[in-house]
Amino acid sequence: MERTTPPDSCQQLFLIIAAVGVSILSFLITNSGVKDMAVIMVPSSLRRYTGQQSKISLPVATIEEALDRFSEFSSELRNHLFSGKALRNFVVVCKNGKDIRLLDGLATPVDNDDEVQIIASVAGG
Amino acid sequence: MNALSPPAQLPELSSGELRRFGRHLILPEFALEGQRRLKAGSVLLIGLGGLGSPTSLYLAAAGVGRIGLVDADVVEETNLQRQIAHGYATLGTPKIDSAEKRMLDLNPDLVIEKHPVRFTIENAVELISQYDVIIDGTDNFPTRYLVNDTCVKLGKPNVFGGVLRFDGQLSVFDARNGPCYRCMFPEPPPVELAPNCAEAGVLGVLPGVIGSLQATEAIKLLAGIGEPMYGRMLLYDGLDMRFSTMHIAKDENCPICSKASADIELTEVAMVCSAPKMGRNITGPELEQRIATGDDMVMIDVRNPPEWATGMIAGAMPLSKPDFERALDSDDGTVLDAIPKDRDLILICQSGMRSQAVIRRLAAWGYDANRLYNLDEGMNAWAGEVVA
Repeated sequence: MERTTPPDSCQQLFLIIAAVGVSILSFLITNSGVKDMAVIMVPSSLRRYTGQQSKISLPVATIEEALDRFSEFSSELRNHLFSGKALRNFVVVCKNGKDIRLLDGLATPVDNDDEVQIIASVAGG
Repeated sequence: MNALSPPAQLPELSSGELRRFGRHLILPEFALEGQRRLKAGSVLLIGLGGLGSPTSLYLAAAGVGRIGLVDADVVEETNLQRQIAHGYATLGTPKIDSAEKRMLDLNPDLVIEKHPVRFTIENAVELISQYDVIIDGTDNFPTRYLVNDTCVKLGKPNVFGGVLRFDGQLSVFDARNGPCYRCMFPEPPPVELAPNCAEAGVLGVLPGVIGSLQATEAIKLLAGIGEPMYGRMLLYDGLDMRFSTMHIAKDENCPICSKASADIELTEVAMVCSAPKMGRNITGPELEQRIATGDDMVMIDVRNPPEWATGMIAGAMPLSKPDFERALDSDDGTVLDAIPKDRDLILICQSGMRSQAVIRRLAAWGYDANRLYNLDEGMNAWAGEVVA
């Protein structure tokens, strides 16, 4: 039967320092404004503003922030989505498949990998 | 949950129908009763274009007893890229006649009621009141809002489909069981943000996908099977090949479905342009007159190359809106030298929207707005000569 050797004091000190270091780093990441990455799903009608990208990942905390950051692609895109500060009447935004009007509206929080869908009304037939 | 109750007396199926619909009858969920309910049912199909083509054929083939068709257009060659109910053999004939021929070929027992009219406030209630399920296969916002409002007023399910470019949308709006179209989209977009398929393009098979799904929802409603898409919208992304479903909210303050039926007043939804209008308008006949007199003006066609290939006004300079804007952005003298400031400029596009946008840019650039003319309704309304 193999016997485990107790760690010497040098090893113990190293382990303690490493554990404290990881804890500090983790605290800093959680509390230093590093945000979760939400994914904006871009409908094909708006992809001309995003260089044809269909998904855009953005580090944001709320739907409002997500749309704000997304609108930075173009002033024309911002005009398409917003009338002043309010979402336009022909645009619906969903988080993970649920209309944000059923959640907390623009203040709805977003977490890592949440999908934000933008739906603009289309009339073609 | 289903909105439609079966009629007290369901019709019998003939031996021919029993044979034809055998593949339905062996579906345990559908069976004989589902088929008899389809035969007893009726559908009003508004629009026989891209969406209405597959819908009309599948509803006929499935055994719906009575189908009303509303469309005032004739078949044109540009329709055939997606409108598969029609063909070269029916070019120039009314779409309702063209579709009727194909539908009766699939189901000779079908009763077709043809309404060769535009769907308007004057006929909306009369048309919709005669049918169990309404299918919106129209191609413009004002008609879609009118279909919705009338369905809410009369308590009818509205099987909605919309397409543009590579994206499709599907839902069943029934205010008795969930939100209506206005709960989701209270107002249409302004004109400059609402391109239609003729301007933005549409992949031909896209209305085939969405129209087939509309037919599925209509059949489910009539046969009393499955879960209708109340309160949900299916989004189809043809480029990424992705289907997703959204849960949509009913608006308790909806201007239409929060009211009692008798209080719902049908009104025409106007498409407005939120950007300020600049320059002047010129009609097709006025432009023809100026061309005939050898007027010293410059005509610029700001459509895209594939649109130029469908025919341009002789003498017009081809310069697409994106190229135009790039030239204005970069102060490209070689392009702008050809566009004099001391002559009248006639801007031309397909419907008059893109040309209006270019006029705004030119005016901001320093061109005299009084010398900038927008061809009213663009090539859509041009009856004069064109060259390829």
